[in-house]
Amino acid sequence: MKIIPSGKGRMFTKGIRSMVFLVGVGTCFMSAWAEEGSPTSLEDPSYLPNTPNGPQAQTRPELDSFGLVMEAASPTAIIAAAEDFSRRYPASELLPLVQLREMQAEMSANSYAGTIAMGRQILQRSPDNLEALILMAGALPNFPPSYSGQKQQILAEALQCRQKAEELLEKFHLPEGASPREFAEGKSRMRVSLHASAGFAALVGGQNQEAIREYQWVLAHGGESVPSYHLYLGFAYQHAGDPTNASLQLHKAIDTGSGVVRERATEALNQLPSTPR
Amino acid sequence: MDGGLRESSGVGGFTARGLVDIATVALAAVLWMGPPLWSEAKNSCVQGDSSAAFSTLLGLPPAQAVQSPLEAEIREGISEKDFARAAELVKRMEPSADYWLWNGALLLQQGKTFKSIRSLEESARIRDTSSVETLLAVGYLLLNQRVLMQDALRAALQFDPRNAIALHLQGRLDFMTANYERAISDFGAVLAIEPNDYLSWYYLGLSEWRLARNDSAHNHLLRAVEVLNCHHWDFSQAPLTLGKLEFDSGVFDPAFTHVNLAVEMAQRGADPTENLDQLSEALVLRGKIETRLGHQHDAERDWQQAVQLDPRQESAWYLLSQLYQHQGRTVEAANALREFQENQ
Repeated sequence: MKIIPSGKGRMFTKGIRSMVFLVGVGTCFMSAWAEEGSPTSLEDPSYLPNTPNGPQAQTRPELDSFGLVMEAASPTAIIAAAEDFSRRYPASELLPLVQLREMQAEMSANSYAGTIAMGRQILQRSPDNLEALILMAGALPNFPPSYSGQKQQILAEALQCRQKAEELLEKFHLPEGASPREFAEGKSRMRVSLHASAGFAALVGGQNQEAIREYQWVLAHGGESVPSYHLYLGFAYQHAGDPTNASLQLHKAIDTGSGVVRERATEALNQLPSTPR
Repeated sequence: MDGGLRESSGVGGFTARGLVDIATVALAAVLWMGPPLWSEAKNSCVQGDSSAAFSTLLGLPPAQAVQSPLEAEIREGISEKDFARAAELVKRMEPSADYWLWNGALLLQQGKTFKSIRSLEESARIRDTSSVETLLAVGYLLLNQRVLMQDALRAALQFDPRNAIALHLQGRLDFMTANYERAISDFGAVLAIEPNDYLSWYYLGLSEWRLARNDSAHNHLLRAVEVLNCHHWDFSQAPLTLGKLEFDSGVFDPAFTHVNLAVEMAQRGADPTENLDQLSEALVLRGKIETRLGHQHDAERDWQQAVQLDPRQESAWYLLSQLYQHQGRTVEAANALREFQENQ
């Protein structure tokens, strides 16, 4: 038997845990949820939560119902389970987590209206919900063409969310029981997320130099591996009349991305005057 | 259980400098030892002692709960992490309280915690027992559901007040919620049943330390380290915590030896990134001790290694900046200070 007191618990690492970080930071330390489906390391004591913080279910059925929301895989199933939970346990401490999960499901389902409605609902109930503010700051400017008429109000709301999130992030300190390293990584990811949101909002608002600055910051602070950041930076350079840098970033988006990112980058690249790679 | 046992002992792996300090440690241990609470357990080192790590088997129904050869096979399959075999065997059971219990235990080990809890709750609905409530408590603990965990443990201990796993979990819950007096009593009750459980010794020591009872804390943490050394198991938190306590008390030589042991245990992980937090923390502390012992060069090496492993290790950056400043290496001091400020 080898006992490894590892730092992999807790909550702020890769993959699914990024989502968990976003929806659970500062309020919930649920190792098993973060690891759902991975073999449990019960022999490793640091695998287990060690914090007096985090929302509590008061009854077994309440936790079971919460579990159904967290286990559901498709956006439709998540939304149905979340709605059921919200109806049955409107005063639950777990409700903010359920609503964030529902908001992310709306995003996955590509429903702008559903995402924003859910975000506003969460923020109405808890205006300082950092996770919801970060999601809203990123989601709001990404509106479909039918919302173009409301562009200025939407960008103003996104700015408000971002400023509030930045304010909260400054005051956000290590919760008891969290790994300092993973906490710092998580906090840094949140900062990157907010700068990316600022960059996107600037791009939508036609402030190309501002967008370039923000995305350059994002790439220099850990966002290098996200293809869409290269795509948007490429767009910003393109609109700012810098085809060389636009080409460079769009090529990176094509090289690292897939699906829509790759398609849009290829499309934008084809519109550029011919430039060497 | 001993399938993955390592042959390399913490003591055997000491550096030459560490070896010199063993005598000091032994002496310090004698000086620190108060009257042992569980004297029958003192200094016993029996290889293969099932008591020594019993609380690492939190997620398995105890051997006493096994009622048939099929259940024994399922238990074996789960403990060997042969989940496919265990699942096949569980399928052969008739739907019953026992079926839901073993199904829940299997799902728990597979990390399917919500499903496991639902299965265990079904078992409890049909026939509630100490075993099923204990497993439920483990599931709730994994989800940090302290209210439900407390309810389950209350039920488990009502059914069987000597359920050592339930008592250990109660201790962990009391420790988590800063009820250290209660935690001490819980871990004491566990050790009266399982006298060599290193995790209970560790948490007992930690609880004593939180209550500023440093002598008892030292005594108990040392017991945890002794058990680990005896079985050649790696659990770096125990020697690291012991080293911290000794460092805080100004006993630098034994602190060095124990932190050295913590570094070695953390380095032995299969994946070097797995133990990063423990390793960098141990390196930072070892550097601090080295400076107290007048080994500035070793301290610098340890702190540099700490920031190499984890560039966000703000304490190491700060200590490096202080060291460089002290040595008149102003450019390096300024760089280290900048890194410290950026990582705060």
